[in-house]
Amino acid sequence: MNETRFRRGATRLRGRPLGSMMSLTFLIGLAGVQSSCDLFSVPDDVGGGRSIAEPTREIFILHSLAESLSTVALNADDAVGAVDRDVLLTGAVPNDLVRVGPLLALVVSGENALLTVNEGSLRLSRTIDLGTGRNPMRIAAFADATSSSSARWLVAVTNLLTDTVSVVDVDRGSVLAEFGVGPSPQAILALPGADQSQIRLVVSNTNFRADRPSEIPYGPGSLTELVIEIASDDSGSPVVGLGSSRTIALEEPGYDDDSESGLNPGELLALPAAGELLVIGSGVNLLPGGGGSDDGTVLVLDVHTLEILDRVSIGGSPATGALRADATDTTLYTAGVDGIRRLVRRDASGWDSPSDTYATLIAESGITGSLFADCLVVDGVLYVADFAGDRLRVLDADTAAPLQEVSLSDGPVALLWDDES
Amino acid sequence: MSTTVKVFWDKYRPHIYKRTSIGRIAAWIIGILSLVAAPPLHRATAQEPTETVVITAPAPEETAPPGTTVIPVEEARRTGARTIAEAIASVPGIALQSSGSSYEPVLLRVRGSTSEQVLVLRDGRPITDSYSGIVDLARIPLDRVERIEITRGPVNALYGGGAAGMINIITAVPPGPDSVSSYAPPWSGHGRYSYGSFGEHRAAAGATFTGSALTLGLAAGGILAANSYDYDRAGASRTRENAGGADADLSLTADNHDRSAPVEADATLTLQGSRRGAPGSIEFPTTSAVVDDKRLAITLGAGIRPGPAASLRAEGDLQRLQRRFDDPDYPLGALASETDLRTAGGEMTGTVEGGLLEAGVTLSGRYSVIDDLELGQVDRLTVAVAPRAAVATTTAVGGGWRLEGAGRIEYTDQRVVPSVRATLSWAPMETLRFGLIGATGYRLPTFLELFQPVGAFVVGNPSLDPEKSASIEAETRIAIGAPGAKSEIRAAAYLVGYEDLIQWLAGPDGRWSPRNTGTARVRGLEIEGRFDIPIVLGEWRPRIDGRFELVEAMDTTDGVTNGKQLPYRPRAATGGGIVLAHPFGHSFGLDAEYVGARPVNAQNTDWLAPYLSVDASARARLPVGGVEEWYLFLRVTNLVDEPYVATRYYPNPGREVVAGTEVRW
Repeated sequence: MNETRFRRGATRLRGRPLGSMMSLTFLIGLAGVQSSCDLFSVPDDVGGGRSIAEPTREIFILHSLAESLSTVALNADDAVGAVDRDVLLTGAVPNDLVRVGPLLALVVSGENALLTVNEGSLRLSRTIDLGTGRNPMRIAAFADATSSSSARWLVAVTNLLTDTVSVVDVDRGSVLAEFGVGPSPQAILALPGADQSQIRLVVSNTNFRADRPSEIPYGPGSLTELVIEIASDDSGSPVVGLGSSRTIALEEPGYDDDSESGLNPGELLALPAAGELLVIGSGVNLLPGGGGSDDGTVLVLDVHTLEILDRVSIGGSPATGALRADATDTTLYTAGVDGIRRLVRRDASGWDSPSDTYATLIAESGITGSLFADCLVVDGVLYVADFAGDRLRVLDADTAAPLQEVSLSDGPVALLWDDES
Repeated sequence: MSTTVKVFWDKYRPHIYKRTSIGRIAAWIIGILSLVAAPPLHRATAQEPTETVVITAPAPEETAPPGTTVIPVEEARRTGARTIAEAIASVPGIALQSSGSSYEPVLLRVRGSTSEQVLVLRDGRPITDSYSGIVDLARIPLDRVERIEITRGPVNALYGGGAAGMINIITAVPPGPDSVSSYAPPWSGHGRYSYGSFGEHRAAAGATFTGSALTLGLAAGGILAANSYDYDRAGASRTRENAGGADADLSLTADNHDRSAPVEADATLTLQGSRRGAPGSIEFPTTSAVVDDKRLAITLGAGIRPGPAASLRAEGDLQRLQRRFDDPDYPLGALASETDLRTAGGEMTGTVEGGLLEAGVTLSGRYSVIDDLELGQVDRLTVAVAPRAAVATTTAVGGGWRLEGAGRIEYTDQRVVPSVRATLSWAPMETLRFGLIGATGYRLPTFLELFQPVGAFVVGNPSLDPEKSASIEAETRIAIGAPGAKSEIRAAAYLVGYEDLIQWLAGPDGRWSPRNTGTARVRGLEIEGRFDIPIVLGEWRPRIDGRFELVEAMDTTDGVTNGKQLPYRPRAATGGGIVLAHPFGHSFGLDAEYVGARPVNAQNTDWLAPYLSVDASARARLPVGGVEEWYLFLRVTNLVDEPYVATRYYPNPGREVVAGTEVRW
């Protein structure tokens, strides 16, 4: 009886639009079950390695939000050619990369890890654990000149949350030593020491403090210079010790820690030929009405003594910079929140006054900003990683004329130029 | 990316072996419980026929409207569930994302939503705070809960919140005078204690006095948890630290449940306090961070019935949440925050019924003020008018159709926000029902999103609009067997669109701030069935259930993440279980859930591997004289110790075992 009633209901169902639609529910369900096997598994369309042959000239691009490494090929005219997206998956919040002999070394902040990657195949070579709670930020590579082998490379990594620098043997995948530096270290440079067994590591300490007033979150900025001694043990493995350490204050005389934000030195660049070291500080990193785009300072230091030679207010809250040297001059490009600024060093007269915003690059929509996370200059062409706009912007380094824009994966944060020719 | 799965398994395989002995112990305990439980059943059942426990799922005619699932809490208790999170974990359309053991917080999603888009109510009153916009369902015990109503799809027109759906926790009401049989005692009560893995003690007790015109209740509960367990990080074993805490709650209720009286009234006072560690993630553990919560809630309700077809009810509530967070050892400087959120709300609903038509209107208002160390003092006023109407017919075969419509116009944050919900239910016969639901909804920005003060990296946006949602759903329910049968199949297909989703983006000043820039489209399919199996196993009755769902939760925002699956939304999940229940109250249960891969970032470059989780439970009712119901229960979560990751960088605690006793009189 019940079965009969059920059938009658089903017959009526077919005759009505609503009923027909409902019965589709089950058909869709069957189709869903059929296709569901693929739906449970991880898609295989990401992280599959290079999809194009290794270009002769390319730019590696690290994506902080997409958690990946991409590459863009450069044509002979320096225009961007093929884009190979998300070739390598890195883990959470990759922040910096550097060339280490035949390898790339990547710092992955969210994983407290250092990755080494075969530069040719872009396959992961090794994952080196730096330890929990460190939040590694930036990396510098240097050859171990004491090694009998010509291919021994070490890297130094700044650890934001532990106020330390880790020195890592990338060949063996081991952390050799960890040295204390100043508060909230970020940028790092490796410079030659007094002899082959020494390396000078210069670290910028941003001194971000969560317990400071949120409008002025940075305390006084500083540099730490570590002179490390490299030797080999009986097995030939490198051994690293601390030769000396000193701290250099960067704030101006009269700086008031209670009412002012510190320099926030986020980038270090060396001009060995000029014997100078540039420290780029973004300041509070805010525009007028909430901060100031007039923040932004370039300090010029003697690269050997670390004496402050000049202090140039450049504005634009720069997070990064790039150098371009020609026969007579050296140009510093700084990338900040509102575009690119330029500072020229004349061999004859030293540093000029800074330009106003050299290239205004605020996003067209006005909704999102253009956080420029990194830039580099190759053959008169300026390449800028637009973190918020997920683009690589290509500009003429002389005229600031935009040449090209290339859509990238989420959150490009670091660029590295590679020329195999 | 089969490689990812393989690596994942290889990495954790030693961990599985290590825990196998615990599995054997659990199996032995279940076996012993079954032996203890079995012998006296037949005799007890014969002698106490009035104590027979109904063990079947609700038939279609007993369930809520289309789009809504009702979970009788007694069924969940049978599987050893202790919290709302555990009770709803296997409901299709619901996804819970844990961040460690069962003591640690879970995020709730309904059909690919965010947690903030889901409204959580207790007896129709919101318990979602407007500070964070979320509720941790792992903290709400099942004690004194009668049922849980889950509605998928926007419910703003009905409740004033819930852009994606709602969870309504309905408190158990003691029998009123009109239903008290002549021999029912005036006092009733319950007590429960359980001890679980990682040093977790949970206890609750309550008593209710039922007088001729008034019911008075007192209940208290508490949790004390060390919650320390081992997990793997980078191939090495570590211990979860600072993840324990203590919780306590107390509630007083007064209610006149004379349904025939022209006036009804109820009042509830709830006090809750907790102090919990905030342990951080695997990569960034925090050993000193602590969260202190204090909550106070007073609710009052009164209703009058001027006539048999008309009613008027007024409700009001006062709530206060005081929260303090401290992390004195945060590496970049000590962190501290203090929040004091006070909310007063009320509503008045008038309803009339006549013939085929039922209509009503609700006027409501809610005022919230927050005093926050960081945000300062800010407030929000919301007023709304919500009319609704329903028309229904019935047919000779027990079917019929019903059309319900509800609307709401809400004024808040200097904006007028409308929402509607329409439901068409058609039952050509008693065992078959179709539903078609269309609804629009919204989510108001939280205080944090609106008023986050200027900081180093972030700032709030007072100009934020509400997130908007629109949904259409078709549902079919079929009861198997005779009218009133207890086996049912439900299938639903849905499409939900979201606009103005709030995303934190880098602004021109270099700070991140929330913007209404996101859009998303979620479509999916849910199929579930619950079947009483007509086979004879002595007096034991088996019931099986199965479920399957597909969810395409697609980011449709302009940009590089367009077309990607939203983070942490599995594209497919399936599961099933069997419960073997005895009329006296004993039961065994086994449930398995297979959850597909989930991306962890917007670009979908990293996915968490699929996993299978198996839960087992056993409950035995003790034939103790003088006590109406006394149970021993055992619940084993993740029986096979699957080392799956629910939230990236948060540990998998492995198998969890809980044993306890519960008594009701």
